Amino acid sequence: MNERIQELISAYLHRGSTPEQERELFEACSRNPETAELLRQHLVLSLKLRGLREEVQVPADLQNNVLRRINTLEAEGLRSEEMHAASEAATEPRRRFGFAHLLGTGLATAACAITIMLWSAGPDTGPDASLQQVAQVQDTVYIVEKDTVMQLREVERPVYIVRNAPVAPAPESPASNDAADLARAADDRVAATEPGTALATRTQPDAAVPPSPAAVETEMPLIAEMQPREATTREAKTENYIDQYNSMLVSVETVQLSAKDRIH
Amino acid sequence: MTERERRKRFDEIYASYDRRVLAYCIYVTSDRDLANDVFQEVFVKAYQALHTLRDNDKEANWLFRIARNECLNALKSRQRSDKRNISLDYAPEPAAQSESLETRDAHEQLRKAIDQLPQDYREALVLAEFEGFSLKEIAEITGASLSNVKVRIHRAKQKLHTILEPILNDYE
Repeated sequence: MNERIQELISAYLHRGSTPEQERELFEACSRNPETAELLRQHLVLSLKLRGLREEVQVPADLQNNVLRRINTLEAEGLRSEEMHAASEAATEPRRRFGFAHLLGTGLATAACAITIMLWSAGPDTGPDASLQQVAQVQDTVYIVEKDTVMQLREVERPVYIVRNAPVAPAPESPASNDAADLARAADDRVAATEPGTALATRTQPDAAVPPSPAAVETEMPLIAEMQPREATTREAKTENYIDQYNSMLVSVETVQLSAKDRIH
Repeated sequence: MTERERRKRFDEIYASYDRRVLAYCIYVTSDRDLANDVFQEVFVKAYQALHTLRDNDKEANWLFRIARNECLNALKSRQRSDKRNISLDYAPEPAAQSESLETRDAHEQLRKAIDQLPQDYREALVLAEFEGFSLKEIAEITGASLSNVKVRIHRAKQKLHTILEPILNDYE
């Protein structure tokens, strides 16, 4: 009996043959009765072997031994898992900030350096910074009464403020008093070499009188420069100054400014 | 796979294959005591290597491959220690006690006949006839070629037929 027939019989009996192999086996059986007899014997033997297969029962002590060993392994595995989880929990904060210790130093240093540079180069720290800042708010006026800032007001139009001066009870009209005040304020402005630093207090806004044209021309150059080009005549300038002063007086009832209060 | 999942999976496998693995070990080693030792090692190894079981459809192949390796290792160890004991006169199990004398005698003769087979023939025959593995599965478990498995089974049957002819004739 050649090995080919043996393979065909085994394959046929153990679910390993293809239709071609089965056909080949049956053809061999039809040609050779010994092959057919061999196939029959193996078929019967397989059936008998399966019938005689012993039903094995696992003894209780054997099963207990196996499960005891498995329980030991399981307990070790659980302990290992717990230790692993504990170690992970312990390393988690470090992992969470794992890059902080690497980048934090550099980033913090860079941030501090940038902050210092910006602060040192900022507009608030330089020697001319206050002046630059003041220059940007030229139209801001502090209204002070007895060294107390009463109001902070921004005006769009130039404001000319005169110092409160004792006014002699002359038969002059209040307007003439104001004119004298304006003249004195012009004197102060010249003395202070800065425009608009005069102290001023005004309680009678309706009594505004334009200053003398000479004083206006010589003592208030900034205001003069800011007038429209049309108002070139002396009378027109005077009228313009009166309008400005009255408009200021409408909004400012009591003004007392000093040089330190002035911000431009 | 957590330890709980591993244990759950193991319990499922153990419940499905404990008897089959023990029978295989008995037939292959021809020694009940040795088979018991191998049986323990098989399931301990299976528990430890459960993460290597990728295809659940082939868990039988996977488990019997472990069993085969453990049987061969045990047989080699026994040969080295020259303590071979082919005694098959172990105490019958409760299920066997209910068997008739004729059946018990037939089983005894079958075990003795199988024990006379060469180890590779015995192994292929047990896997094919008792455990129901296909030829391809047997080739995977044993590492032999498909053709070789077919020849081994065929020759094992021829020998068994000769040995068990009186019993087989009673069935025919």
